[in-house]
Amino acid sequence: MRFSAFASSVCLPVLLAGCLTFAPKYSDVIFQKLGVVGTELTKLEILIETRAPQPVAYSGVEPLYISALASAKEAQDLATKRPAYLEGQPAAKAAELVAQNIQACWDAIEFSRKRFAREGQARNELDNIAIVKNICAIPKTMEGALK
Amino acid sequence: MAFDVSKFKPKSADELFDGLVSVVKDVALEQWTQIKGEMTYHFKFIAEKTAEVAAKLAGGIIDDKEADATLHLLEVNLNSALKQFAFMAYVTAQKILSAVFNLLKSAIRNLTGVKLLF
Repeated sequence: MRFSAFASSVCLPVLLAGCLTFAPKYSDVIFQKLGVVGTELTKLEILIETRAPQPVAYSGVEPLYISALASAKEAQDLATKRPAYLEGQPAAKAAELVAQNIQACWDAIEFSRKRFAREGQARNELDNIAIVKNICAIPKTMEGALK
Repeated sequence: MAFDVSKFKPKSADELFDGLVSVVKDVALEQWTQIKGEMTYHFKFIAEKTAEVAAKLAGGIIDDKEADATLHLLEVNLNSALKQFAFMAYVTAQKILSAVFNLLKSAIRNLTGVKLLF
């Protein structure tokens, strides 16, 4: 919020400098959607933990994977639009880094889902999910840093 | 350093310069502490998980296929962490820019009584 107020108000006196911005405006929607991704992955973790040592069938984890993927996709759709309207600003590069890391999050969930569907629960599945969760927490922290 | 931006009234260009340096230093230090904390966390996490994969593979708890998949995810994790690091530099630049303009604005207001809108 502070950035947007800054970006719009600082432009007049620094017209010659071209209203430089280095960071995109904070998006609460992106932040919340990535929060949902984390929650779904935590549910997945708990499901596997509670069934242990019995492995969970793919059909049991699929809905959680699907909903995590859906939220990540929604965040990604918003994040990819940002660099375009910041074109020419250093902030566009920063916005792109957020979008790339949300994409990495989606890719990691999908990689994990496909592996699970193909080969069933890995013996170290909880490690995998912890890593995917960490990957998806990164863009959320980044978005949060824009507050 | 406790520095009251709202009361900043430099008597000379030197004093204005000193004020700017102190504001930049404060913001940069705060950001650096945050960046250091984040990066330490990620590198620790990746190192620990990699060691776990190696131990489980050596102990026959997981096979190479399972180890491969986990290592692939760790590689993605490292990549994302490095991009976060680059991103934090932009956030720092933005914070410094805001802080500097706030200080200049405050100095002008305190010296001239003119409240600039920017």
